[in-house]
Amino acid sequence: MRRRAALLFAALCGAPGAAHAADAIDYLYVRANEGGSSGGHAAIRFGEWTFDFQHADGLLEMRRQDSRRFQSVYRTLQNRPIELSRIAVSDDTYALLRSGFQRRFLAQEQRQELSDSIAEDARALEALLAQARGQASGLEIDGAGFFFEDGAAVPLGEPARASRPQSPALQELRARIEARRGRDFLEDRRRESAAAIAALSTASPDVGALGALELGVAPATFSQRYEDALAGLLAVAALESAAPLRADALANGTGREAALSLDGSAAARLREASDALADRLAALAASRRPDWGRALLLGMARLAALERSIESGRLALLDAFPASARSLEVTPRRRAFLPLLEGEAAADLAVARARFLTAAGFDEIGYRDLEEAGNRWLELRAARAGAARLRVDVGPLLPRGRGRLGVLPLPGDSTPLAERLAQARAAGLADRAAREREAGYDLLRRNCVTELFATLDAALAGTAGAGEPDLARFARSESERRLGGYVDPRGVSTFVPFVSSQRVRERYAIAATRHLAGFRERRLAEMAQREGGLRVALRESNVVTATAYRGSDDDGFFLFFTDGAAPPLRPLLGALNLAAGIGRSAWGVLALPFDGGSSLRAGLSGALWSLPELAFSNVRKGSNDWVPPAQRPAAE
Amino acid sequence: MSRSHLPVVALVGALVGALLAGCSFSYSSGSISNSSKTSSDSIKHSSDSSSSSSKNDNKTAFSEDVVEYARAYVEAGSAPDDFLSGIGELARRRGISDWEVEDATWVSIGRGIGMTKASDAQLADLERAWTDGDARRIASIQQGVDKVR
Repeated sequence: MRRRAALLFAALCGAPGAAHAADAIDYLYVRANEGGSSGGHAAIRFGEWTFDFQHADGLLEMRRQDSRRFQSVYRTLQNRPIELSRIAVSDDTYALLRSGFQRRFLAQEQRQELSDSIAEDARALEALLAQARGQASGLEIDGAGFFFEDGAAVPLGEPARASRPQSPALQELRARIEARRGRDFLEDRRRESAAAIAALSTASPDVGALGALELGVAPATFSQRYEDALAGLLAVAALESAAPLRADALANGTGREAALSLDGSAAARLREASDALADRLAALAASRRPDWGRALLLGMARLAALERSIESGRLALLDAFPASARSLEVTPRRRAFLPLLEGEAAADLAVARARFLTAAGFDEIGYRDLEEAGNRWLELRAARAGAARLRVDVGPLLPRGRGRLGVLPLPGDSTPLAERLAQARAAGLADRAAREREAGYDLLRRNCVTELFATLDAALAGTAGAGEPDLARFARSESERRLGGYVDPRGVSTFVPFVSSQRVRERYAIAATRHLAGFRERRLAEMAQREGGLRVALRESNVVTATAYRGSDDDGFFLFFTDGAAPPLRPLLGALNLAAGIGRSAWGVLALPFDGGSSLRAGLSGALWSLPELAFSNVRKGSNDWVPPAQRPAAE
Repeated sequence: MSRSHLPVVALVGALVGALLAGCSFSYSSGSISNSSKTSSDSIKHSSDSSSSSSKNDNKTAFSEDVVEYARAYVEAGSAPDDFLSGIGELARRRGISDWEVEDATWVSIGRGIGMTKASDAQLADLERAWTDGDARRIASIQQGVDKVR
């Protein structure tokens, strides 16, 4: 009771610290905008984590984001206000619900991993079958791209040690391992990996026998075990031959960047870190974890990068962007932001670098942060120097060293590869069908709102005893007891984000409500205080004279903002926006051969999002590619 | 237009929007702001913009995830063989490769086991299967179990 009173008091006083009260959860209703989640969106926040569901590729997927990042995306970049409803709960309920959301998130990650592995089973079997038929084949695996040429055969015997240049760092590591484990150690590890492949079943998992979203039950697949064993063989071969790091495994730079240069004390610190890393790798080489080879390949690549850094006096970093990173076209509008973004990335790099250089030993996360910051900065520098595309990824970035292997060792399974391949493909189809049943998106029955309440129900039902006959009724009564009321995921119109927010406020024990302004809304309020409301309203009402909106390549074409306009004015402004969108579309048809359809897309999108305005409703709010740090709303 | 009509208008707008792109992925995963860590996190004050937050977030998230994963694994009664593969995948997704060397990982595994009804005999079996008899790791697991039991 005292806690609830304190919460209420803090909320009434507007104390920002209240946002992270451990005994309250926040229901967030994100207002609409064009683009994704255009009907509005919803999420639940547990302190530093915010959970929501997104529709992608026909499936509804839970995401877990840093709460600051969630607000940054929606409030700052997308100009969307958030209506926050704080629900007071006991410590016990907070822990129960947070754990329920976390488990579902982890189960989904694991399920996705399994789906990816089943698809990879088919790819591996296709490669083996093609090889058996004498056709060109190959298989990409993590770690192969650090030390082995594209299409290299998987090494099954000891390589000739002096056949090509050697890495002194890997020579020293090999000596350290042999001193600790004996000269036969690496040969033994190679035999173990080869024996694992010889004993490997190529069967795919029985998807029908797996639970829907249970955490902790996904089996390791053929391709996981096969690629683990291949990585073990590669790691041993790289060590035995002290293979040099491939030049293209490193992030590109000009070689003259001052931010990457190392003085004598920095180089000495890297020597110490390199020694500590080698010590860890000597232990890792003897690990019983199935994926020891992958981890060892990455560790050896980092060791080689540190060696190169010390030799050259310049920080050399592995390329950490995944193959799945988005590659953005550097349009003129985006190019204008590059100096500012590069400045921010340079500051991040300086901090990560200082932290790693002042630490002791080898802290993997500290080094990974340095890799990530360096990669982002180098990518921005390259774009600023004229590169046409820019890779972006939310991260965390971990170098994968993906590379293609040519000649592959055959698993010992006697079942014909063609038969196994047919099974793997069937398993892939069965897996997709199962996932559509479990998590298929349905606007009315399974969307980003209904799944939040369904996850709450599942977490509450999880406390029922084994003999509980009616879990749905139990969840309802637990919700009433713990949250003060119940919102039925299947309720009429619950699926609509703003209706769900109303239901939450009507039915749960609400400690506080807050309106978290979007970037543009907040900027306009600040400007109005300084300059006067009418002047700001007129100037900021349209995209031509607005100063709080710089435009975005992702926005459709429009002239007037209608989110701040009085509702009776919206149809008028909407009609002007519609006319502008149609006009832009007509121009887009003429410009089609020259602009790849971008004008036409902007025009059609602009016209489309003008339609709700004709019906007095606002969806479009404009969005931002980037906002200066001083103008970003603080996370609340 | 009267205030009583506003919810209806909002509902129509939301429905139109939802029908067009309900719950779909936001474009921001491909935003240029994701090119910089600070921009993508949009931390307002420069004193907070260091990657220390990401460093601690990664470590904390991984530790908490390991607790849940170990707990679920033991409760599901799954074969111990696949556990270490699962932890490896979990670690990679959080940007970590050499998770074994950290005592904190084993303490988290212990906390996860400790939240289940696993008996002392089951605990000893799991310790043997997952640590290969490493005394330091077994002690860390026990420390985690003791924290929650």
